[in-house]
Amino acid sequence: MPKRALTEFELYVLLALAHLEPEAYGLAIMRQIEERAGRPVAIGAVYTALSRLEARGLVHFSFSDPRPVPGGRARKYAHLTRPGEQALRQATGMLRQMMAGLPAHLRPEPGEAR
Amino acid sequence: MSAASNPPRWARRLLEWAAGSEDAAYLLSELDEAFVELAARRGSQTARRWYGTQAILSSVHFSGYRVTRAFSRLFGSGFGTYLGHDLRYALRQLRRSPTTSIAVVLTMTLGAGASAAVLGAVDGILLRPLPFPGADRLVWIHTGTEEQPRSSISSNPADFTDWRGAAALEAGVAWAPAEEVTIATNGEPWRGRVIRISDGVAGVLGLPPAAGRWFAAEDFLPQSNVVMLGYRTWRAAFAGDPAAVGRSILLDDRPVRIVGVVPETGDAFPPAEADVWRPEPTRGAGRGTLYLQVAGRLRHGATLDQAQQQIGAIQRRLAEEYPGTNANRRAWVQPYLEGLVGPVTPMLSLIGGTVVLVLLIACGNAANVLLARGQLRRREFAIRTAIGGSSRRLTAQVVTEVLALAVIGLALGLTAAPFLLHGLVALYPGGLPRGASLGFSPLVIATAGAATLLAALLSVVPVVRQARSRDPGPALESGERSGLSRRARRAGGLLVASQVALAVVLLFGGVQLLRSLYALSSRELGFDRNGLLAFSVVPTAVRYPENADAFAYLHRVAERMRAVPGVQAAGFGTLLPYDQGNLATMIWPEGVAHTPDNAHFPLSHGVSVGYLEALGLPVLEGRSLRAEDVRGRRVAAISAGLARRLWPGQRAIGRRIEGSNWSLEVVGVVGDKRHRSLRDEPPIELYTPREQSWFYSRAHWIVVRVAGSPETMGPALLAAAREVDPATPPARFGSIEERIAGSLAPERFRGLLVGALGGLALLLTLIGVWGTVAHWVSRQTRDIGVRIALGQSPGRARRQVVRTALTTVGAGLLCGLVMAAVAGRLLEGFLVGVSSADPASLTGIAVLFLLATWGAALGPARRASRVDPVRAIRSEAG
Repeated sequence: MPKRALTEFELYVLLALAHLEPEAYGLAIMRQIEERAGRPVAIGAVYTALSRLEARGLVHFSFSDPRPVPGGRARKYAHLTRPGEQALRQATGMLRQMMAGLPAHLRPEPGEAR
Repeated sequence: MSAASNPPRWARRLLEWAAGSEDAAYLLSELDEAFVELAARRGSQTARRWYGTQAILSSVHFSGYRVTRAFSRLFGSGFGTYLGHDLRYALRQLRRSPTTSIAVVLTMTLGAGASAAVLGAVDGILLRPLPFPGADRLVWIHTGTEEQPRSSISSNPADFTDWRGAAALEAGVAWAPAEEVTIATNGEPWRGRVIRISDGVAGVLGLPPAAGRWFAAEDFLPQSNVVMLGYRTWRAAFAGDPAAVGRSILLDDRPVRIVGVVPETGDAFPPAEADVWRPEPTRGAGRGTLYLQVAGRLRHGATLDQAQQQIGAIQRRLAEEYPGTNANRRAWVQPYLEGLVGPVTPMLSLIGGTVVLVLLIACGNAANVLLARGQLRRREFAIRTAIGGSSRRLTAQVVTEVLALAVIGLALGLTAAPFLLHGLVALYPGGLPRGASLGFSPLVIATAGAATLLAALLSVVPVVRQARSRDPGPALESGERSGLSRRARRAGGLLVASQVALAVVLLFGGVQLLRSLYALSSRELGFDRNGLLAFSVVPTAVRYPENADAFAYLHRVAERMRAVPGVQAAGFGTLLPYDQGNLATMIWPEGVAHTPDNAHFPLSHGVSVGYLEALGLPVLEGRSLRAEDVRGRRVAAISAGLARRLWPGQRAIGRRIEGSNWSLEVVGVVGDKRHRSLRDEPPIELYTPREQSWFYSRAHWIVVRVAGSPETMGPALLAAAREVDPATPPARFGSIEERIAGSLAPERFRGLLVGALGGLALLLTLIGVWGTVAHWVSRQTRDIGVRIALGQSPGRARRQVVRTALTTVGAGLLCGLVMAAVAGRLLEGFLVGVSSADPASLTGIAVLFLLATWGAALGPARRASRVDPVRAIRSEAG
């Protein structure tokens, strides 16, 4: 069975994860995507995407001790696995290949997502 | 900290539920963190709004994730990819084994059609809202008695007027029972029904008339001659033309003017079924006669209890003010829908329950069929498992096959359902309330569809377990003819036993109902029902202005009929057995105080000479009525039951009976007869000469006893009546025999329906037994062959097969008999003359099943005894 390709959102989650490692958790990933991609994100979408990625072996989770602040709780952190890093490289590589040589008027300006 | 500066509680709860135990804690703590920051930056109102949005959107994501995950667990990942493949494979399988496929499709068709029809009936009759605005405020108001406060006796105009004073009632309407009249709209006169109805109908229904106007105050004055036309009559006679308003029609030869048309009420308002409405002023008969039905509408905000209390208080006041008539009367207020459809609820429940049982049996058959087919494919499943196929994929495929069959059956069944429903409504005796406007709402279709698919999935459970069996070894190594796993035998046997149990219950119900029908129909009537004909005739006031003229005409007709060859006796009267007519009068035996407690209410007939003879009522004491009795002192003949009631153990002849302002002498005692229904005991009855009785109605029955068959005598008698007066058409209503049979229609319907379904269940079960046993034999050919080779006699082999079949069926039979005895109690309300756990019926059914099973097992048993041991063993090796 051919492996299913990453969806757009899953790609964003992996990219945000990569930026935030080793302290990537749900809320932080959500904020990363909102800041960088400029689109509002529901935290549930991040969580379900992470679950799907974990089922495919592309991420794994670790748990911190309860944080040393009043009412602090433990955190669930996500990390890229080796196959996850590979998948990310592959996806971004494909994207770069597809974008190479785009006509000038279609190339994105820096920060244009917002 | 105030609640407003915390995240909304509902949002937290929603997330807790949606995210599940694992992630909820982390997610909530992260969101809370963000909430605090956002609240500090942009205020807590913004933060709460953001939190709520997050909760809702996230819940949607979590729910979707859960659903897709469940699907891929069930069907293997890549569900969409495989669905097309599975469907094509399923259709190939269907073509490869057409008989089993057709069997399963038929089962599903039967299931879907029957359940949709029954659901449609239940929905349309019991659940569908009434077509009136604010229908939940509509009520019936019944008169009851001290002993039976919740009976549904009618009321009278005076009581009704007083009730309308209750504060909780916004409007009330009363109507008299329908009367037969001759109606002439555009030409040929025809017999129709007219209902006299009070004012107030507009307020109760809350609907505008279909054309014209409602009755106005002046229409209720004595001189008015206006009518409203029934909706169906308007469509039939005037093609729904609004110009019908203002036209004149003839009622019993008298012209009346149409002022309006009754609106369409979808069978939800009984008077609307009449052809014509006449205005009934709410004065007239005193408080002594009871003949009006009353409906009302509660005020906004008034409750049923309030209405009950207020009307109850009014009744109590009336009881004090008019002890002569009202002392024993109570009133009760009933929700309108309940009163309208309540009477058929038991029957619909019976039908529904029966259909469910048949469905289960049919599903059992389908499961058996699929199991047998699955057995044949064990090898295929085993191979696929052995080479690494996932059991999830196997399950998906098997389920797809069955679902494909179910969908085909569902489509066919839903197509058949409207016809089934139509048939049910048409056959239901007396018509189902609201039955003329039944249809299929989307909810009904969806429920029937879901039930069918669920049944299909249930039937496939044993097959799935079979396909997913862990160890493919045995199936692989020994090939197809490898005997029967114990598990498969147990499953098959359990299915058959369950089917037998359910079929026994159904069959028992049918047998009991049919026996009850037989017991009823052979009940003594009290009169000789053979050779009796009845004619309904109405000498109108136009042609016979005085009562004396009308009676003279009737006497002439009876005399003329007596002259027809073959006629043994003829007479006329005001009431006919098994007709709807009903008139009770308040009487006391002479010398007893005239209080309501001492009163009796015999059914009161005004009859001519010859009426009692025509009915064949035996004269037990004294004499029948004679022609001379018309003039002179007032006399009557009474039924034996009335004589026993008034003067127990004494001679009734010569004693006197008193009414409110009259008295008469008893000259004869005649036998009791059943008047209205075979179920009820004979009523007490009073027969007076017609000229001496006080009924205003012009409608009479001419009863004729003939020597030959009633059907052949009919035309001659009609001709005789027309000779006397060609312009007054008597309408013939068939022989009494037909009317009695008609009165048994509910029992016949029930008995035939449940009996037929029971027979169907028996047939299905026997097919299941035969199929299962045949299958077992073919599975075990090798084992049988070996045993025969080792010296067992073929006869023994045959007996073994039969014994296995009988044991399996016997187990189901035992369960079924116990269940039937218990379920029989549910039928008690319908049964007459048979006990609910009748041992004779139970024994008969047990014997029938065992005999039938033995017969069904004979074929396979004989095949088993003819197994050639050498070939059986040899074929195994090959």
